[in-house]
Order: sequence, then C-alpha cells, then structure tokens
Amino acid sequence: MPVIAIAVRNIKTVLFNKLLVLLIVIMPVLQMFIMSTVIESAEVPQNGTVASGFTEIILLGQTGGASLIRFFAASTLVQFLMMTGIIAAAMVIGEKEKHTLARVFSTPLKKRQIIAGNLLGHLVTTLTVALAVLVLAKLLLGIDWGNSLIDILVVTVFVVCTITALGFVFSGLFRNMKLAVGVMSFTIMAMTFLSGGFTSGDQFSVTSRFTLNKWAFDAYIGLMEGKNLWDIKFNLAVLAVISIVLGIAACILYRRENVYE
Amino acid sequence: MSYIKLKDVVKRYDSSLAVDNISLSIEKGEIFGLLGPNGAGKSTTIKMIMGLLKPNSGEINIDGINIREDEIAVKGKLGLVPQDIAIYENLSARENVEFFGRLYGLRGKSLKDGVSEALEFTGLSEKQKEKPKKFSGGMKRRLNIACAIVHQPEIIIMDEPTVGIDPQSRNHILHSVRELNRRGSTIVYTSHYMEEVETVCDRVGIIDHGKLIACGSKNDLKKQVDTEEKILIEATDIRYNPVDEIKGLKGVLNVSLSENTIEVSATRAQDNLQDILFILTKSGVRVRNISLKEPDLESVFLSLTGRKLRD
Repeated sequence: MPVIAIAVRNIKTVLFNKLLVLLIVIMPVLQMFIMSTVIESAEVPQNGTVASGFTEIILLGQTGGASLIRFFAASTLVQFLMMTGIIAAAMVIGEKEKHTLARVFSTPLKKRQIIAGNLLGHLVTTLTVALAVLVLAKLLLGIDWGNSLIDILVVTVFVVCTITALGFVFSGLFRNMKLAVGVMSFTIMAMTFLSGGFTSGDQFSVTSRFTLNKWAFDAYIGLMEGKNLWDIKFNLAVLAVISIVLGIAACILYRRENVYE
Repeated sequence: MSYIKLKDVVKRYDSSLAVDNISLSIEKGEIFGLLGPNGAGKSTTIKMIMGLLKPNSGEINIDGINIREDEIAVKGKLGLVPQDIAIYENLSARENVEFFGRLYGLRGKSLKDGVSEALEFTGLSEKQKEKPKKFSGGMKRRLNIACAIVHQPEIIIMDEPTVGIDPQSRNHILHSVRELNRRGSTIVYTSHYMEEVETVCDRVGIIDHGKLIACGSKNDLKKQVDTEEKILIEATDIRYNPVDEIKGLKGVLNVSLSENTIEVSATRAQDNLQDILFILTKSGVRVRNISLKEPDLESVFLSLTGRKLRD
C-alpha cells in the first residue's frame, strides 16, 4: 500500500532520529520533572508572606501544589505537541527543498493518496509522542492525567488532529524550511501568549478563545480535575471545528498545481 | 503511431509563455535528446510529460493514452531521473529504492527482485545498507537512477543525470543509458553536455524560447543549419601566400595561414578540397597532412540558439 509506505517513511524519519526524540519526548518530561520538583520543594507560607526566592508560584500555591503540577504538565504537553506539529510540517517543506516530494508526485499516485500518507504518518508520530509523554510523566513523575485512560486518549486524538492540520496548512504555504519554522515558532509563541500561557491572571480570557492552546489545555485540565468527556464536550467540539477548518484550508492549498515545489 | 506525442502544447506561467505550441513525436525504443539553453522550456516540457504540470492547451499522449484522461496510467509507464538528486538521506540505499518501488505498486517478491536488480544495475549492491549521506556525488546520482528504474519503466526520463560527477561515474551512467535502451526502455535524455547527447541519442530536439526550433537525427540537424566545416592542411615549402587564391573559391568563408598550417572554413569543405589541393600543388607547396573537421552538435546548437549569454 503506497499510502502506508509514505506514512511509515514519515514515522521513521521522526522516531528514528534520536535527537528529535530527545527533544519532543524527553524534554517535556524533563520540563515537567523540573517544575514538579520546584513546586513540591516549595513550602507553603505559614504567615501569608512570600518565601525567599519565590514569587508568583508560591502565591498560586495557595490553590495547592498538585493543581500547579497539573497546570504545568498540561501546558507542557500541549506546547510540545505543537512543536511536534512544527517538525512534521518542516519535514514536508524539507521534502520540497530536497525535491523528493516532486519525485513522489511523479509516481502513479493520486494527490489525495500522497496527502493521506503524509497526514497518517504525522498523526501516528504525534500520537506516539503524546502517548510516550503521558506514560513517562505518569510512571516517572506520578502525574495524574485523570480517571480514565480512554478519555485522555480521546482528547489527545482531538488535539493531535488539530495540530497536524495546522502543520499541514503551514507546509502548504511555505517553500523555505527556515522561514516556515520561524513563522510557525512565532505563531505558537503568540498563541501561547494570547492564551495566557505566560501569565497567571485572567487578562487574556477573551483572546485565549481564539487560540488552539486554550481549548486543548482546558480539555486536559478538565480531565485531570476529574471531569469526563461529556463535561468537556464544548472544548472537543471547538477542537474538531478548528481541525476541520484548518483541514479545508490545507486541502485548498494542496490543490495548487506545483505544491510539491 | 508515435509512442510519446505532444501536439500544440502550450504552458503559461502568469504572463510568461514557458512552452509555446510544441509538437513533438518520440518513437518506441528511441533515445531522444532534448536540448535547450537555460529557461528554454525543457524542464516545463518534461514536467508536463511526467504529469507534474498540466498544459494550458494541447495534447500529450503516451502509448496512445491521453495524459489528461488517465494521468495515473501514464505515470505508471514512466520513470523519472530528476536533475536534482531526490533521495532520502535518512534511509539506506536499499530502503530508498524499496520506498519508490512500493509507490509504483511493487510488493513481495517482485519488489525484492526489482530492488536487487536496480541496485545491481547501478553498481550499488555492495553499498545497499549504507545511507546516502556517506555516498560520493556519483554514487548518489546512481542511486537517483536506481530509484527510477526499480519498476522497470517503459519510458525513462533522464533530466541532466550526469551533472557534477567524475568521469568514471559519468561513463557508467552513459553505459547504463544504452543498456536500459537495449533492454527495451524508451529514453528521453536532457543534458548540457553536447558530446553526451551526440554519443547517446538517436534523435535530438532543440527547444528555445518555449518553441521546438529543430528536431531530427544529428545529421538532419547539421543539414538544417549553415554550419562551417574546417579543413586543416599541414604543409612545407609554403613559398607564396595561397590565402587570396583559396579565398576566391566558391563556398570558402575564411582562410588563415599560421606557420605551416593553412586553415580553410567553408560551408561544404569537402567540395572545395580538390581545388584547394590543386592550388597548393601548382605553387609547389608540399602537403604533409589534411584533416577535415565536421560541425558537431555544439556548433549546430549555438548556430540555432545564438551565442548570446542567457540568464
């Protein structure tokens, strides 16, 4: 099956690259480990004053260390899944630069088969990364992802689909990998900022609604706080709509005659 | 009926006309050379034959199949050796060939045999487990070919397959082109190396400014243009200057004398040879050696496309 062959090649490219695996699987776990260590080591102030060396984190700590760890675990997971989306998109642009995509387009395959193969590869790659991070964080750091493994998997599938669609829009837009990675990194940073990921207040409650991060993050946090899929159905619906809109945009971009260049 | 047939094919990019009403026929079993300066429209023509670009108008038929009507069937008959080396650096040589074999629908034993044969043919069997990042330029070029022939295509399109490689690899590739043709593949070959095209191809088409300006066998092309032939005469006892007398002969374009060599340029030098020898003999010149230099493909190409530098 040519579609499977394309998907397998994509998966191999990311998952057989030790440096990439280190970046997208080990780094988020390490980041979660550092944050959970810092949070757990911080003493809750007895007299309401801020402990030496801590500022906002300790004040937020009034809501409990466990919820802070969940907050960072969920935001780190979303952030690194988005990074995996960048890498997947960059791979397609790299194929354009190295002319292998043009060669693939010259084979007796329909355009939709080639796109399906790439999408499938990226979906499986991102899903594998997500599962690895979820399992490692649970086993090594004891992070509680919620009551149901199925529920967390369903959310992860929604998030991965949205990120893959976003990556495909970028890969259809750009021909130059460096430029694309720059723009994608900026977009992710901007979305994280607008979603309030860098701050602790409610000042981004309106703008965050227009970011992918908010809906993905809220869905994870919801499950971690004991909710079920029905409770977070709105988040899932928004993620599904974003996926569909981005998917349609990617399909329009990929209709271009010389999209392989 | 021609095996590959382009009829009144036009391709526009925005306002510029990349291919302007090209009509071309290539017969089964031929090695057809496609020549043209940079930006002449060769790559666009090849991309249209490969189904990578759609013509704005005109028809392309491969083995009787209209590419517009059944692009997939046409693509299955073709194997592309792209100008740029298009292989995956993170896959081994064998994995690269296997990957493209799978895209052409090969499976199981046919895939395994096809891959082994393609690697054997390109001399890469011993390096099949190595990744191309360790390969020389010539080996990468050969792997580029192996990926195109794994499915034993009826038509192989080779777009400048010998750019930037050593003479041994180039010789191997040229030998491969002839061997693939001997095994039954029709080959469309583009190159900037005129001597390669002259050596390998049965017929040649020259494209310039999007138009096919000449097409035929090498001899046909030479007849189409007034290219100069040259006679080089080495002689002794040149006691008088025969230049003016030879210049007076019909068809002679230029005569020069340097030390013991007389160089005569003429449109049909062979026709003038007898008269030139008569003039030299009567004036006591002793001829030691005569050589005739016929126009090569490069001079035909330059004559047709001009010597002005292209962007």
